[in-house]
Amino acid sequence: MDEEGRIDVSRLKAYLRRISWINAASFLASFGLFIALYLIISYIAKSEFIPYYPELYHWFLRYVREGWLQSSIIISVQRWIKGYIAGSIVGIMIGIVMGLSRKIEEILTIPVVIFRFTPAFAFTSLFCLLFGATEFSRFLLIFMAVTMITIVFTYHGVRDIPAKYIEAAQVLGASNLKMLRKVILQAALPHIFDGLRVGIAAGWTTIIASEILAATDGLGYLLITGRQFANVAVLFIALATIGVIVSITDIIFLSVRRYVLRWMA
Amino acid sequence: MLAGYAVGAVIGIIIGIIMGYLRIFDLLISPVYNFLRAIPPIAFVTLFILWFGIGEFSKILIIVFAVAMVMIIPTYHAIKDVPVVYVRAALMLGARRIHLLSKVVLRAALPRILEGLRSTLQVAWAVIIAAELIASIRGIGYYIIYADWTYNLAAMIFGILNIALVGFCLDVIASKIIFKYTGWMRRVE
Repeated sequence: MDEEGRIDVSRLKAYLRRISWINAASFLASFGLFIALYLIISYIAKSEFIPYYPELYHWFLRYVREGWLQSSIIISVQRWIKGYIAGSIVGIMIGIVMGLSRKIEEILTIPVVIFRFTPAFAFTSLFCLLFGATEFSRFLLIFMAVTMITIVFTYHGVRDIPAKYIEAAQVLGASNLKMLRKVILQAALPHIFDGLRVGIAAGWTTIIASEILAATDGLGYLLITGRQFANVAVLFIALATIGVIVSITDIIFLSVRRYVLRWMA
Repeated sequence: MLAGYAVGAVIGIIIGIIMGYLRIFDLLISPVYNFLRAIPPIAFVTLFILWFGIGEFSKILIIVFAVAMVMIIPTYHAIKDVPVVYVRAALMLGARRIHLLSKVVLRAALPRILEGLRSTLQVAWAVIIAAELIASIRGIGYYIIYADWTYNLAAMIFGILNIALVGFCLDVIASKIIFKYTGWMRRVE
C-alpha cells in the first residue's frame, strides 16, 4: 500500500512472486537439510533404532502393498471428520447460547472449566468401561475434545461483540433471527474460526491417543504395532503419515477460512 | 514434569528467538518445523518409549520435546510482531545490536512469550498424562489405568477430576505470575 492507501497492483504482484519463490526455495532447502542430516546420522549410527533409508523404504512399500497404510488413513480420517463436524456444530451452538444468556452461562461455566482443563484422552478408559471399546466411545471422545474448545472460543467471541453493533441493529429494526444470523454470528466468526483451528489439532491429538490406548485399527494403532515389534521404521512411517495428513487438513481449513472471512482482509 | 517443562521452555524460547530474529534460520527451519508440529506430541510418546525406555528419563524427554515444539510458535510470532518503530527508535538513539535484542525486542515480546508459557503449561500437563496412560507405573495416568484394570469407576472419575483440578490450579498460578510481571503494560493503559 502506498501513502494514500491505494494498492499498487504491479508492485504487489512482484512482491507475491518473490515471496512464493522464497517460500519454495526455503521449503526445499529445509526438507533437504533435514533429510540429509537424518541420512548422515542414521548412516553413522548403524543402529536399528535409527533405521537407514533402505529399511524405511522396504517397510513403506510393504505397508502400502498390503494396504495397511491406506486403510489406517481412511479409518482415522473418517473418525476425525465425524467427530470434528458433530463436535464443532454442537460447540458453536452451546457457545453462542452461553454468550447470549447470563443464566445458561452461570450453569455451564463450571462443567466447561472442568472439561477444558482435562485432556480428552484421559476419558478414554472411562468411556471404554461405560460404552466398551467401540466406535461410539471413540466418536464421543473426539466430539468432546472438539466441542469443549469451540465452546470456549465461541463464547468469548460472542461475549466480546461490541454492544454498539447489537444496539445499531436493533435501532435499524432487525428481527431476533436476523440479529443472530447477520450480527452475532458474523461478528463472532473470526473467534469461532480460531477455535475451529485449535479444534483440528485437538481432534487429531485425541484420535491418535485413543487409538494408541484402545483400538485395533487406525494410525494410532500403526504406532502401537511399530512399538510392539520394536520397529522404528514403521513408527517413522506412521509419524510422517500423521504429519502429512494433519498438514493437509490444516491447509484445507486455512483456505476455507480465507474464503469465508474474505471481508476481513 | 516441572523440570522437563523448564528445560523445554528454555530450548523452545531460544529456538523461537533465533527463528524470529535471523531470517536465514527462519527460512531453513520453518517448513520442517511446521511439518513436525502437525504431528501430535502424543504420537511421539511411542517413539520415545522405544528410544529411551519407559522410565522417568523418557517421560522428561518427551515433555522437553513437546514444550519446546509448542513454545517456538508464540516466541517466534511475538518477535516477528515487535513494531519496527521500536527498533528504529532504538537504533536512532544509538543502541548496539546486543542491546537491541536484550532491551528492546525481548522486552516488547515478553508479554506474549509469557502468555505462550501459560498455555504450554496445559500442553505439558496433557502430555505427561498421556505418557503415563500409555506406559508407566506411577502418576495420575497410571492411577486411571489401574482403576480401569480393577473396574473401579469411582476411582477413575476421581482421577479425571484430579487432572482437571491440577490443570486449573496451574493455569491460575500462571496467570497470577504473568500479571505480576506484565502489570506495567496494564498500568500504562
